Amino acid sequence: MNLLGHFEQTLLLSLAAGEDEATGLSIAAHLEEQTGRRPSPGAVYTALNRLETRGLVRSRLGDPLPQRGGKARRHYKLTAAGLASARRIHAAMSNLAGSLPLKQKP
Amino acid sequence: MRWLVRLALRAGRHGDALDEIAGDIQVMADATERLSGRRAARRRALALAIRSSADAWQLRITGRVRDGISAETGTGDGLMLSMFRDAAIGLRLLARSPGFAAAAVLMVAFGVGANTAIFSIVNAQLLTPLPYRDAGRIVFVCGWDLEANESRFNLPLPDMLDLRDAGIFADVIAYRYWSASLTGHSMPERLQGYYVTGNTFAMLGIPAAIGRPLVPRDAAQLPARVVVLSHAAWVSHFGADPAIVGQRITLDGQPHEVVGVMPASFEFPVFNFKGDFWAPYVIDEAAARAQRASAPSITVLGRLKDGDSTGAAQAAVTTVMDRLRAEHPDANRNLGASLIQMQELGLEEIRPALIAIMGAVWLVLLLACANLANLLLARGISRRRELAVRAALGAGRGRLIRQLLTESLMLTMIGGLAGALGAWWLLETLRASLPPFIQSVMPNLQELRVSGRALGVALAASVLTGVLAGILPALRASRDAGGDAMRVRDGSSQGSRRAAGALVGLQVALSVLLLCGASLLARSFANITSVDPGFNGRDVLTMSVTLPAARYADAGARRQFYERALERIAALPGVESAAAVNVLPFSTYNRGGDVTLPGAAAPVRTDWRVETPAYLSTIGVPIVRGRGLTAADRAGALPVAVINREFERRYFAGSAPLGTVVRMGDDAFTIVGVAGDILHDSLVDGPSPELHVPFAQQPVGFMMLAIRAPRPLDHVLAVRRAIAETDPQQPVFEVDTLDTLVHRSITPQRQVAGIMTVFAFAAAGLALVGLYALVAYGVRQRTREVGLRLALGATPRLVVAGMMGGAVKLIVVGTVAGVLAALAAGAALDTLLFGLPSIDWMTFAGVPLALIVAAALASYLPARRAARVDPALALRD
Repeated sequence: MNLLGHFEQTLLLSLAAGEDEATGLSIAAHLEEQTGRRPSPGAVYTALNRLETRGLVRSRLGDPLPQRGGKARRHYKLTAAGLASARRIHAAMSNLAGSLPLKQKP
Repeated sequence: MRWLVRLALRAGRHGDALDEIAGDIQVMADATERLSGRRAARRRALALAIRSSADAWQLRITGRVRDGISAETGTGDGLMLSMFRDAAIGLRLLARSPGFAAAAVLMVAFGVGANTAIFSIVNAQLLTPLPYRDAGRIVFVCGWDLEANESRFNLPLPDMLDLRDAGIFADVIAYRYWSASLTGHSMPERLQGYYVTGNTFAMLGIPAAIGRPLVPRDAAQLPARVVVLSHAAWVSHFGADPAIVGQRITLDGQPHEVVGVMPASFEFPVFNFKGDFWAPYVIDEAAARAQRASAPSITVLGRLKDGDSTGAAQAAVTTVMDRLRAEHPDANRNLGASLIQMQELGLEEIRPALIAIMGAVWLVLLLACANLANLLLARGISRRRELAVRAALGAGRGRLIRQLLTESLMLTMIGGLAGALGAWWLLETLRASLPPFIQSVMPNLQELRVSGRALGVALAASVLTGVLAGILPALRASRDAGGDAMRVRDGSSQGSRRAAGALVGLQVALSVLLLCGASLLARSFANITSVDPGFNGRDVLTMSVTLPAARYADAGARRQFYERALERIAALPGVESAAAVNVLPFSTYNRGGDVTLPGAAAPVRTDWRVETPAYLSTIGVPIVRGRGLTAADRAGALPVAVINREFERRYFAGSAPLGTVVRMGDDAFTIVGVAGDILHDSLVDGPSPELHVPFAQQPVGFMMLAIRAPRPLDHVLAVRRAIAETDPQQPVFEVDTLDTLVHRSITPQRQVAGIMTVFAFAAAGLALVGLYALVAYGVRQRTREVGLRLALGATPRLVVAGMMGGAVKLIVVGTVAGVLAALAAGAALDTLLFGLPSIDWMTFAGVPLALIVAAALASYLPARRAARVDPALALRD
């Protein structure tokens, strides 16, 4: 069983929607914008790692940046499999969301 | 702060992602700093770090984490997940109020740490079996004085043989102290060792570290010139050279082959020095049985037969001893034997002290518990709105209680961890700082550390504290959270205040109890130190000089050695007088014998001092009647003796002792004087009868020197040199001052009193802080009420009185309860106390008074603040 958790799905969607390459920081900012809650860096990177080991995401080290003490920042990008996953999730969610408005209490 | 962030991050085990996460946190903290300053930035960084670690674990374990589209399901999360979530929320809340968290953690750390440390000591001393094979079945067979009804520890050799032959034990071992001169090295040295029967090491079941232990054939025939070294002696005297095995060393002038070295962990089972070496004890059984009266005394241990109880063995031993007493009425007069579990020996004295301290630390933990409960109660009040929101959103009462309990448990677990670390550090320090004297006699020293068992106690104490301290506030807060609480302003509820008050009352009571205990011990200790030992130990240098029997077989040679050495020492600049005696007071040694008084049927016991004429004057003991010993009491002159007042009081009631002739064995002494009493073993017990006889007439080979000189320790080298000039082969040992010897005898009492005092003051401090916090909190909660009263015309004094009223009631009730408990506990401490009336009013009145004053002050200070409230501001708030 290797089901994706919903936070990981959210990350996939964010990566698919955002720029070509994203950083942990930009993903967190994007999620805050879109969902109203900013995930912690620990959550973001742990989830990205999990996605990477499943072959849905790949990463590379960027150029060193001055504002982080000369440390390089890691850039993340969907793999082909990742993009396919994101598409399936998006389609399913949209279909579901299409059946709005929600009914009142049963 | 920075290190806290790092610590929090490390807890997440982020691996490669650590740098990224730290970098992102930095970026966000920098943004916060630009907006709201450095403090806020630091707090945000810590909160982010904690959340990152918590989230990372949650994600790994559950695959889920809270995000913008997570839905609260209320139920069905599974216990693990929800507990985890509770912990994460708790951590976040704690990070938001670091002051509270630090106070709570420190308090618990102190309580748990003290408990862990003390438990470790108790564990090593009372609970851990000694490290011998089947140690529980090994017993000391001690001589028992049927007349005085007390243990004599040793048993005459023939009785050991008879007991062994009676077949009561599976095995019997015996040993005998041997203090030997080690020569052939640069400086002659004194080693403490034992002659042991050949089966000793086999019974203890401990192999040698190098070479072999002694075996039965070593003791089979004379001359038995082999020896096994202790690890300590091997290191300090032979440079830890493994090649020493097989070599010969010279003990008391005789060569001995070293056949083995015992491991460092090996402790010889004695109630005295653990020993530097062991040599085979070759016993001439026929000779020993033929001369029962003059047979040596030895230490005897037996291994119980399988399935045999100590009681059954004791009965069998008693039967044998009864028979021996009938067969040898002289040699075995009043001699019985008692079996003592190896573990129990020497514990009668320290057990009550350890139990008292154990009780004290549990009380301190209880106090910490009560204080934490109070802190949590106060927090519960200020969190009412938060909890009400949760309750309104559907959290059940059970769920809220679990959340609050998780938080308190988290605090106590962190505190417990800190406490365990503190205890570990404390014990390491303690073990390293124990004086060598204690190290050489304290059993099971290796076990004096924070063991797995002690960690278990620390864990249990932490959990217990967390639940005890958390349950009441949790119940209270969760109940308050129902109903209309959301609309209520943050104000204190009557119930919460009452619960907090009860806790403070409990704290006051507990600290009165502890303070009374400490006061009793401290006053008893002061009484002990003010006891007059009967001599003046100031400026007296002491040391032991024991002549090896091989070189000093002749009485004239022994007399000549000590007299010449003393002459040389007395002539040293700065030395006022120099003397020698067979046993100095408080040297932990004693010598005694039976004397027969004229006309008496049976002899009586007396301590026995052999001394040079200047001895009593050197240590400042007065002659109260007749004369002291003089240089004229030489060999060949009339044998004389001086008795002490206790001897006179006990054995010469109504008659004059001077001129009486008393007999000791084959010797007869004419009493020529009466000297003052000298306390010998302890300041607590009264004097024993003493018989002083001149060394010149009884030239023994073991003497201790007493040298009166200002700044005594400055003279050690010169004295050693004077002795070396007399005999270059002769070692000197146990160099001390007489004051130090006395001082050392009361070390346990001083330590117990010191530890209790520390705990008592810590407890009182905790209680006062609790009281202060309670009143201060009340003042803050009732600001509006106070403002209203002031606005309606109440005087500040009335307001302060109103705020303090409740506190004073608590203090009084708590103090009375504490005194009652202390009166009960005082009875339990009885064996540790000395020179106090059965109810020590100084303690039972003074301590409560002092605490009432301190407590009143602790509640007055915050109450005063209430009177300064500005009514206008308070009402508008």
